[in-house]
Amino acid sequence: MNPKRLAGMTLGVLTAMGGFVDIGDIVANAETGARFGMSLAWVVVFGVLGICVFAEMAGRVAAVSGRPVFDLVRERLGAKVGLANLFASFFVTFLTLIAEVAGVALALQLATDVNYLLWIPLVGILVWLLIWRVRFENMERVFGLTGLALVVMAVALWKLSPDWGDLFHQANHPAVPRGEGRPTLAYFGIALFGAAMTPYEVFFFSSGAVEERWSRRDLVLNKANVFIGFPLGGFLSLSLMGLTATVFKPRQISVDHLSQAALPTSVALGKVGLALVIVGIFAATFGAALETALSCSYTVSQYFGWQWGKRTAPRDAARFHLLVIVALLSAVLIGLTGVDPIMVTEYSIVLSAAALPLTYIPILLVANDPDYMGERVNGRLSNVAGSIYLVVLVVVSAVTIPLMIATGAGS
Amino acid sequence: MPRLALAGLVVVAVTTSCVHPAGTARNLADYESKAKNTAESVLSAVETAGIAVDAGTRDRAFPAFVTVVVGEAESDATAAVSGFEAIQPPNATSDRLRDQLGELTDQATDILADTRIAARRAETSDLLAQTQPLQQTAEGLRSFIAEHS
Repeated sequence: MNPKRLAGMTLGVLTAMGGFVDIGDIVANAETGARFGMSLAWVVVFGVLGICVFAEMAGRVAAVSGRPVFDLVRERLGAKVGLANLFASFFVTFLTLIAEVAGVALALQLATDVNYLLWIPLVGILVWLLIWRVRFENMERVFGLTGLALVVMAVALWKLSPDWGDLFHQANHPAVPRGEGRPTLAYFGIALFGAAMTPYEVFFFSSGAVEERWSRRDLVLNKANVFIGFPLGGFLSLSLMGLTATVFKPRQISVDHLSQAALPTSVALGKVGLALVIVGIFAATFGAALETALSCSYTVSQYFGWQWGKRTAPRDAARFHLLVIVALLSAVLIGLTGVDPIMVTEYSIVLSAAALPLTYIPILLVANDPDYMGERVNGRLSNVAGSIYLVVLVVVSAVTIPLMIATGAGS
Repeated sequence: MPRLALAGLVVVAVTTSCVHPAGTARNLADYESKAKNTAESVLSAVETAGIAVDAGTRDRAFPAFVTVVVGEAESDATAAVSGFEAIQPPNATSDRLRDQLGELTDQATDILADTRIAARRAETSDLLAQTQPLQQTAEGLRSFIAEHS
């Protein structure tokens, strides 16, 4: 693969670092590991496979048709279905944006001990400045590659020398720990699944492919991005789950703060490890803040057929750029109210789970439409995998809200 | 209209599920279960602070990081205790349970406050001095949880 192609893979790495390993994933995996050990590791693996299946479809649709998924949803499914999709997707993505902006501020608090509320406005301005001034490719490279610092979590787990046999046994023989109920376990499973398949990941990935002017020649790049980026994100998620299962579970510690996700790495690797994990969390949440701020505007602009894109000059795509500013400003203002960012994160991933079919059904339909895809329609394997996941998505979507109520949001 | 009512119901249900009201305990078993949950929350905070203090005193974590972790642990413990204290004990037996847990949680919040002060001053010797009290408090809370499980 030539250097240009290799550099093109950063879209997948950024999407995985900022999209897969974002504040939602960090919190959900750390909390699950501390409470249930590795019992729900299979959900992460299942979620990674699911996001790979659908992100590959979304990237292929963008490369073949030159249009992102949301652009085609209204055209293919009609205005009413498209609008329902837009409402649900925008709400969940905006909620995630609030969590990510607060997540960046929390990462800065970990390094400075300056209250995160003071960082939030600065983070909002920085995110906007980067979207406004920095080229899309540079944005991907800086945050995608810096996010790779989170690999330190895997090194930390190895350094702790846990009982690997026990961790694998927990993963292979999922069980409800003493004092926990099956509904709570199911609720956390759904949270992990929602965190893995957050809708904005595909909006950003497919819109990013259009921004990078992918064509049919980039289909291999699409596959490489998807099948390297997301599994890498999954590997890091499992490492974090293993860390909290090893350090926190025996001490009956529950995870309620982002700082706790960094603590086991500090225990294992000292200050260097701690510095790397904080840098990694900063980069991953900052990348996710960029993605969600752009995705809020991508979805609305693409639905209404406005001129859109980071590459497009603001005077030519005024509504797109204005919407980015409005979304960011609103996220900053809501964050400044002092709403618990971890609670916002938890609700954003669970509500993501409830809205999943609205995002993924249209992708499957469009990827099977020869009018858009020509001979690049889904193959049998993609359709079988996509259909299996759709059944799961519908079931998950139906049980999410009742489970949230029944378990008091997993409490 | 029915759609609107349904949407309203969902919003109310979700909103109410987000809130953790102090509420009331219907009987001793219910009160005991709430006491056990409170002890678990405080134990989690104490143990988290213990790990952070250990990392801080062995120069494995930055002082700012230790301060943040301990400060959050103290807030969590205080919130859990004040939530429990707002619950009306249903009878005289539960009054004794309340006193028993209160002694442990008072001790825990005091030690966490001392730990936070030492962490903020970045005084390793003061921080080190908190290690044993944190461990003892954790043991006391663990015994309480085992006794009421």
